Amino acid sequence: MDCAIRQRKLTASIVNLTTSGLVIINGADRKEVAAGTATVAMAPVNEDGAYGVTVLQQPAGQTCTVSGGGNGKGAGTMGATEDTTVTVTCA
Amino acid sequence: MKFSLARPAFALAVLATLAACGGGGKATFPINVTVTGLQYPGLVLSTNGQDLPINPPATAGQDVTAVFPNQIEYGQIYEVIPKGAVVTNHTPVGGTQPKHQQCAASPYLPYGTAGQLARIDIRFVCAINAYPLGGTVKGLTGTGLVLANGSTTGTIGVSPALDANQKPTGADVPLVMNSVPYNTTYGVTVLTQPTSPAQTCTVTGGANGFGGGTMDDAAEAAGGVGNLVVTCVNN
Repeated sequence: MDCAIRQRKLTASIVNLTTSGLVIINGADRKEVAAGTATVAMAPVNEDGAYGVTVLQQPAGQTCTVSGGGNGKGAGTMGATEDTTVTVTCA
Repeated sequence: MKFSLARPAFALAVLATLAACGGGGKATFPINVTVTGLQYPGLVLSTNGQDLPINPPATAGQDVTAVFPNQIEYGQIYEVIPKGAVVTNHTPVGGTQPKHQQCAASPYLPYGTAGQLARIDIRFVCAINAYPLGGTVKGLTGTGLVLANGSTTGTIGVSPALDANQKPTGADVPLVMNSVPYNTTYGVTVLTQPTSPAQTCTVTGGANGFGGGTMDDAAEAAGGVGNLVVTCVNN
């Protein structure tokens, strides 16, 4: 019998991204984000596993910050029952 | 090539068998090679004075099969190694590995005597090199600090430096995150802030200055990333 750890969705909600170049990561999971994107589906995260979404590369002319998640800064421990959405706000 | 003096009778028997089968010629054996997980160029395998360059597969993820240019004769000893590797007790060290990877024989022995097995089947498996990710934690006096590299390779707890009386000193503490494979990203974040006293720690350094980056050629050449700084201040 094969057992797999259950996983939960990790989503990044992108606010006000108007230029290109944004790259967000959750550790080794790398996502390039085009201008005007509203949501990015990150790779699923193990239940009870850590996550921490950060900005690897800022878009041209804008600065984006990550909020939400367990610690309010885009990081936390994935719960057992709910999916998680962090917010990336660009200005 | 030479046969050892002890073998002619056996060799003759084999040749007779082959003749009986209608083979007629010498018993020779191709040295077949299968390489799994190869992604980057540069691997050269070597045995019996022959070199065999192995290139990555046309379709990523597929095995690469190849055969050494010349077959070897019955009774001849072979030992397939990365070209130029120093071999001690059949364990090769170094040699001509692919870029960003290390390949090793698995699961079969890469050495033997031709004729021992019906088919010489050499298997190599290649893994991507991983490099250290770390730095320094400064000003930590509280307990319970937990750092993570996103969801990759678990979490790292850091305890403060203690003096002889088990009191936290706030001195620098080495930070050792789990190593990061070549060409993958890292982004170190604070998962849990320390308490008693309550502190707030922030991550700087890495390629982007905020604890993030890619384990790229520059990082590989430097032997990893060692410039992370986690700075903790009392709330």
